[in-house]
Amino acid sequence: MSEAILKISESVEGGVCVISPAGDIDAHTAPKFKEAIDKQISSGAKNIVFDFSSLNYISSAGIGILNATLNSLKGKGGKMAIAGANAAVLDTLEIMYFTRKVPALKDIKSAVAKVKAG
Amino acid sequence: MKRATVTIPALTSQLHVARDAVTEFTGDLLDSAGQKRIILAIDEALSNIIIHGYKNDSSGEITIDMQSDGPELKFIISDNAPSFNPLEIPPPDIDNYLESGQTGGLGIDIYKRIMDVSYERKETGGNRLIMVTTAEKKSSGIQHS
Repeated sequence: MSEAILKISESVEGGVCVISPAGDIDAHTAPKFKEAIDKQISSGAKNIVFDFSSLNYISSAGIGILNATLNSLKGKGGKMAIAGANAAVLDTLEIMYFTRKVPALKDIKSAVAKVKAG
Repeated sequence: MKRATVTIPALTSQLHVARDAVTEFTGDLLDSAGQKRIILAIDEALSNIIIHGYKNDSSGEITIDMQSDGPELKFIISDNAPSFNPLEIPPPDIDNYLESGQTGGLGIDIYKRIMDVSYERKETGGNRLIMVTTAEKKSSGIQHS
């Protein structure tokens, strides 16, 4: 049986950790997404930009992980932002109220500037 | 009337199979934004059944009967998991959800806001979730609580 595909890469842009998931984040792939985030936080990342430019789909399982990450970063005085989400992913973030708490910017550069602005 | 059926095992790894089937069925019936919301709603319902209904018991099965008749688009999701009526679950406290960093608890609320949902307990055991959307709802979008 085939499975949903999620590939995750990490980089540093302007001193900020950028996590780039590509594919689908659903109830099956969400733990892999969490694992990648936890790894970066354990390594000292305080501010995180999520580059969603290659993200095709996200369900509440993925939003839940983002919500827990936001809470964790806030506890460390950190921030997060979302970059490059397509219309469908952005719509899901809005349906789940997440854009009330986290800014969604057009591109990585803008999102990095946003989290660095404090 | 257009009709198609897909059955998946109670495995989260197979959610994408259902999403692909709904995508194919609704391809010529909805605009892209409406289609993505319906896929999200179905995916949330299936995820709940797999994780909370079947408790990830992969011997379980879920069948989605997809029907299009005029402006109405209906998805009947049937399972043999223990009886559970999602309509009895109260809406979540969104402010608390966001402030406390919860990881779950939005799925049922999301699909109830995207589609009109009714529930039947199957006489033979299990559950039947009927999810409907109409042409009006497709254009007006979801209800915000």
